[in-house]
Amino acid sequence: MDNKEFIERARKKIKEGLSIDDLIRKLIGFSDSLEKGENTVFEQLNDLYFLYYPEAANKLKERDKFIEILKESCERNSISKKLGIPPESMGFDLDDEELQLLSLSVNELSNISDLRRIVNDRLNTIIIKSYPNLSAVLGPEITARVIYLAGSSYSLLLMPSSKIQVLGAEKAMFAARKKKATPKYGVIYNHNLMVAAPDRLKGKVAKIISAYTSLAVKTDVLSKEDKSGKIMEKMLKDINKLKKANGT
Amino acid sequence: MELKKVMDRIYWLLDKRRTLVTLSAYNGDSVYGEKIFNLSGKIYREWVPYRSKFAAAFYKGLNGIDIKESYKVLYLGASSGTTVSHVSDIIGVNGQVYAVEVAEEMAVNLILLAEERKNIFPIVDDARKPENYLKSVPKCDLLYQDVAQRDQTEIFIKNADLFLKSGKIGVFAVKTRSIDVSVDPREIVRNEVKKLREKFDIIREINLYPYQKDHSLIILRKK
Repeated sequence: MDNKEFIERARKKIKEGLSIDDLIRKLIGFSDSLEKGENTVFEQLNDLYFLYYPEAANKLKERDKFIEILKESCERNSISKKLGIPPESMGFDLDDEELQLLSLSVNELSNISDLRRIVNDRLNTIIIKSYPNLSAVLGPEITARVIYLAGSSYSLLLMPSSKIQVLGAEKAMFAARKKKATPKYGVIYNHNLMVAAPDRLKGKVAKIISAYTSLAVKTDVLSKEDKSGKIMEKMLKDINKLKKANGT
Repeated sequence: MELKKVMDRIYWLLDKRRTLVTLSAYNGDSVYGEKIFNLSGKIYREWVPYRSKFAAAFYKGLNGIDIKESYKVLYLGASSGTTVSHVSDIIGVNGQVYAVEVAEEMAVNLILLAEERKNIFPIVDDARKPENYLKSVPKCDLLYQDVAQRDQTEIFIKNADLFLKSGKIGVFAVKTRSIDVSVDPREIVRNEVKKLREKFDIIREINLYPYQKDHSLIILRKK
């Protein structure tokens, strides 16, 4: 007996089984690790720069600003003009070759940063195109995150909205088995409406958002129609009602 | 180096430390980065206990099981085919191992392996629904399951009913952590064994610590 037939069938099944969700998952993983690498490299570079020009390095603790200012030149003279601080420094004087090495590294860091931005843009486009309702409710970044955590849009569809609410807060959820209270929100904490809501209403707003997420993902996967306007209108109405009832 | 036979096609390689090896049924390529030994013209592949629960059972004192050449094996939860490649070694070119795996990305490696090893029959399907592959899989001489699901005992019973010949062996890897995290692992194994008692004789239960954490291998005979 030959296994060719089995291989053929299995190959076909895999081809059918892979979907846009897999691409989304991989892209998120890629973007995450890019960001991680970016941060590590930035920390080390900032540390290195501290040796040469500590006065400037202390002012450039933010990654994006660091890249922007050091991109053209790392020398004290040009940096001091940009930041408006005196060029005399108590740091260690570096040779030209080491300075070259430094600017090469900053350029490389800037490249990684650009790449991550491109990946994220592409990810957002894919998500808005394939999940119009869900991305309207959650915004593209959180949509991607939620699909990543659920595994696929279909398994997100099968989840109750209470589980969607705490997606990404698994650690707190497990802690709740033993002592603490259950978490109120997971990744949807970064949602615009959540940020705007007052602290004491955050749990309730999270509940409403996750309920509409559940609705939106069902619309996306099962009917494939764009009803985002209607869903958003209803959701905002619910949240306003909640705010009114609680006197804000 | 010296070979000590465990059973057909499985050996201990005695050196400073003992190493479990299987006699390769196909060429001597490394499948997942394991070591290859070439002893007097025959090729042996190392069977790493940290990667394979079946190998860990041998390290923990299993010294024989009813699996031999030209057997038909149904393997549930084949993953990327690490253990499957060794099972395919043991049953030889005339045997057949039907490897079921549901996750597409894992199954890709399995299919690539099956293209090299003609005795592996890959099936991309859910082991919860044995009806789906009922037509393509014959009655088997050994059922091996390693699926790490909450309802893995039910999956095992279902598949054993349909595919395992009576009087033959089933090997069942229990991952206690995927059944319930809050209960004592020994308690879980006891409960699972209770469920299996109706249809199977329990031959042996092996705890795989330290090679695999929170895992037990249960060897059963179908009544």
